[in-house]
Amino acid sequence: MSTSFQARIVLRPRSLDETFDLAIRYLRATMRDFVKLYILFTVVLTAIIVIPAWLLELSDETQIAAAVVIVPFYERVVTVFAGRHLFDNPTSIRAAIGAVLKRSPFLATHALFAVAPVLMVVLTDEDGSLAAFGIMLGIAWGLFVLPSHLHVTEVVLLEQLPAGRAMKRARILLANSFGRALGGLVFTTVVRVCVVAMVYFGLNFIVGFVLQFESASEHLGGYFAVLGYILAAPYVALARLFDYVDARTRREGGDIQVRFNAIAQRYAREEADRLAA
Amino acid sequence: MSVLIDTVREIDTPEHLAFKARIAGPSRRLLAWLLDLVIQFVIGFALLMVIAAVSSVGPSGLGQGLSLFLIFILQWFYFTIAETVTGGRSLGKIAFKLRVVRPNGLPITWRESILRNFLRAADHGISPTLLLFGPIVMMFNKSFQRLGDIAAGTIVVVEESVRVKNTPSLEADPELVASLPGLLPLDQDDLEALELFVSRERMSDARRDELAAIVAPHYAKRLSVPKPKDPTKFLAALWARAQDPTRRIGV
Repeated sequence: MSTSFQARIVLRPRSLDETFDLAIRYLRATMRDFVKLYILFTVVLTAIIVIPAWLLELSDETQIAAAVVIVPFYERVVTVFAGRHLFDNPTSIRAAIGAVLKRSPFLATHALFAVAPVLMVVLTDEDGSLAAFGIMLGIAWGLFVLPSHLHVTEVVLLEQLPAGRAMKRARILLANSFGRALGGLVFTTVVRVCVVAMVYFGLNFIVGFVLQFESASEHLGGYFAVLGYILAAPYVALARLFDYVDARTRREGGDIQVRFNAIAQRYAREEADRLAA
Repeated sequence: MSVLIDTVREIDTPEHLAFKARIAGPSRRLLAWLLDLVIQFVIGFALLMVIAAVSSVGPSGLGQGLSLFLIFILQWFYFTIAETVTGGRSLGKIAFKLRVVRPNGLPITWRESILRNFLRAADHGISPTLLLFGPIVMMFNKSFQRLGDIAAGTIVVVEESVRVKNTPSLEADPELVASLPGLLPLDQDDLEALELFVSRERMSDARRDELAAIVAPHYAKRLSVPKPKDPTKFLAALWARAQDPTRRIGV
């Protein structure tokens, strides 16, 4: 099977906000190709998290903690699927899940490290000492570890490098771009929080005020938050993918390669025509 | 493959001049809006202090009335006045290099400004439950228009100044430049691609060579010079030669 390098987007270095706008544009333009993936994962993940929570009467915090741990798997599947789709290569949901499962030990470890501070805050004890430690760890993670390794999962999945080389390459891709990486991290976190809040308040409003099921709305808050977290995942994954593509465009001149290939093809064609004549 | 996805839109002016502008998306517009909120708060706070001072010597109820009137004016007319006076830019938009324009690139008038800003209430939502209604509408609109923009027929563009770089990242070898012929068979596509190549920073030498090897043999053939040993240096020389004011470029 041949691999295409013809992107569906215009390749050029972009500012961070333009990269995120492009992710929105891509999400909208390719909805038809991605809709099955989105529906499948939203239904399956909601069921995986919500049904046990309902049966075991788990707290809202435990449900959110489960979502924080499980949803990165969904994001990685979107990364693989979109990574191939972006360059017009054939792909399927099954192949994307397979690619993620193949690297699951590394991805699971990375995800647990990345979300550890959030888990500490969500699952904090009575006196809140775990939350305080989680916040401190989150600041340390956010300032010193995550920005330089922001695209390690993209490198592992799309370039299929072993863990050690992937970490090194992720650092190289974002070398001298600390501010941008930190901005990306903050932005995706804010997007998640906003979507969770919007879905939580929106559905509570609809169920409790519009449909007048006040008692139901009181009990469904945790489910709504989980749903919001799942709904934010595709955009977060795409935003990170486009930031990774931008980093590669800057470092490796993907846009120049596309132009040079077009020029080389044109000259080769002209030469062939001349010889034929 | 269909049309490539981008955030740039072509704008046709009434004079039939087409130019490309970047449409501003939710991320930058949200930041500009937040800054405008802070500015509104600061202006409101300062004026309320003045009103408090004035009302202490005036009739009772004057301060309350003036305060309510001030809040109403700030909430409903801050954006309208700012955008009309500055040609489509509130203070937040100025800070983030945004401008509201009509789809043909012309500046907005009072009519458009009033319409798009009075519909902010619908975009922001009248309760916290619908706070992100505007961004949701923007997400599904190909020009990132919120309800107010759709009603008024306006778009928000990014006014980014193009940074012209005089010195390329690659130094050309003068001897190699001198050895190139006077007539360069380069068109606009070639020149743009070469400019991107020589001005791109932070690219490894190996990657530069890899990219240069794609086109260098073709250019060498067209110039009737031997195949270059160092394709990167050859392209840098070609670009430097093309910058020579006495050059002759043709295809």
